[in-house]
Amino acid sequence: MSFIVRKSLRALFSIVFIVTAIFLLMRLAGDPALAILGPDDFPPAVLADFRALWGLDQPVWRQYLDYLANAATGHFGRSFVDNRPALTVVLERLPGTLFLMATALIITLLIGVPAGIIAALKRNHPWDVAVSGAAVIFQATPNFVLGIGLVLVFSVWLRLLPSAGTESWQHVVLPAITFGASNAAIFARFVRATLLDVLRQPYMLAAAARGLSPRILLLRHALPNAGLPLLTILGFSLGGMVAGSIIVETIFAWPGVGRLTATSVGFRDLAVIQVVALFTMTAMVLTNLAVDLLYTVLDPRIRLSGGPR
Amino acid sequence: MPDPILSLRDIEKSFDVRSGHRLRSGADTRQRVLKGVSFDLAAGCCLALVGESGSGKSTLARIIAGLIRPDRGDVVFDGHRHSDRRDRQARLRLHKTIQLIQQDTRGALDPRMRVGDQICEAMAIHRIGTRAWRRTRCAGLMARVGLDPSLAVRHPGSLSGGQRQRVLVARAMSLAPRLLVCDEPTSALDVENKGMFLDLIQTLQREGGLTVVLVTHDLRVAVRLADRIAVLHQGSIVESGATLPVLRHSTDPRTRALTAHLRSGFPSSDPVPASLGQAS
Repeated sequence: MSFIVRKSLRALFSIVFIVTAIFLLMRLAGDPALAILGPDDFPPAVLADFRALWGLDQPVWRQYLDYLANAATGHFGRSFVDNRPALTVVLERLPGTLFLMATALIITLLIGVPAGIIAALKRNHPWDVAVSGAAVIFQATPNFVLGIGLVLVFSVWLRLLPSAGTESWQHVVLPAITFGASNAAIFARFVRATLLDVLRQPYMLAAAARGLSPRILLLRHALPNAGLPLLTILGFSLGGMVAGSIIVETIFAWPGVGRLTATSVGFRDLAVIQVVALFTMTAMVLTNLAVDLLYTVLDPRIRLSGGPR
Repeated sequence: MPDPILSLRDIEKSFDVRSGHRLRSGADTRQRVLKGVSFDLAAGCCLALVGESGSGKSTLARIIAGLIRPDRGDVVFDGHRHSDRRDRQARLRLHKTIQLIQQDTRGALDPRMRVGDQICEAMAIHRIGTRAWRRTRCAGLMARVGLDPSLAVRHPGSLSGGQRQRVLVARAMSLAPRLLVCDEPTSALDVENKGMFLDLIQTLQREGGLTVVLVTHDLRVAVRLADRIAVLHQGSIVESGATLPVLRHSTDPRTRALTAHLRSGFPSSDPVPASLGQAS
């Protein structure tokens, strides 16, 4: 129990720290009034009124305390751009991003894990060379290059799939592949390496000596042991997906939190950016907490030692 | 010698030095690990395979256990050639009658599985008994090797090295094998656990008529357990026969070097050097 409490307190501290850092950085990065209204389009009096309206004329520490007090009651401010609650603006976009990320995660697991297993079981075989080579290429290719390349081939040349929008299931294919390809490559390489390590363990030889078939060896001994480190990389990959969503959603005009973040940063829409940061941090911290807890459930060695430190 | 239960004929094995894979072509990276090894072993006997590191002992043990195939030659156990056991059922019969005990007591047990499950697993694979019967037999086996049956629910990481070694013996004995191949079984154990392990193997051999192939570089273990000994040097058996006569009266310089080297490591009170005679 103390392990869960310790991890939860650390998670809470991480969230407060990051939200504070983003609050300060966004206010030090430039005047939102100038970013939204433009210095040349409005007289100084209008700019001053704008600052007064949104409380931007207050000292930063005062703004921060007001923000914390409001956040504690569930009020995260209003969007500068359309004057709606920032939480509502973000929540409207959240399902789109979650759907895209879930689809990408399915692609990652369906392609990355089997590819890694095949590469490990067929080590030094042409299958291994093909999987490892493809994994290196996809891991090294930036999201925006892959996304634009896919649009060029499948939307412009072949006219098979739409390049933007959300109207049908076909619209999710290209962004999900763009999202999932590099993660699948990372998973394939990671699964290959961990599985090869497990296959070399003496208990695998011992299991073979007891007459276990290769299939049972793989399912009962190799994969469960190789799968544990996979949990860690699954947690890490969420961070990469959040960052990647900004690029992928912008390329494919996907109405999600990533695209909202890009436009909100451009307009210095502070309240929206802070809600996005809070959501992102909370999701990442909760994922890592879940991974830590799953470790203790799945790995008896960690359970015995009182949890990972 | 009575009819042998185990016969090895002209066993040859090479490995690719670069990757550890068996070499298929090319001569420049080929390392011959075993060079025409042959011997016979009668049922109920214990054979010690001794030799310095890299002499091919462990590779030979794995070939006998049917875990790797030789490039040439064949192993005949209980009238059946390993090379003839191509289908799944024949392989299962092989792995039921020959069991391997490894050196690394921590690594030889799956860290995620309870030790009781690991002892029962082999019986389940070979469809021996019901689940309840296997649990009962597991408890019986654990008691027989000197373990408290309540330890069955523990994971390997929470057991001592000596306890894990006993789990390995119980797991191997769960299939009632006729041949036990022990690969450096005592090298990771302290003196007390080593003595208990050797007593246990002797008891199993005496009571169950178990045939044992013991891979060791510890001459004391060989003298204690083995009726016969084969000295391996760079992949070949340079000398073999009854244990004490070979060690006492060897004329082969490689065997004499091995025994002299091992003798030098014994304390003065150790009975083994006395049984070997003085090095000259």
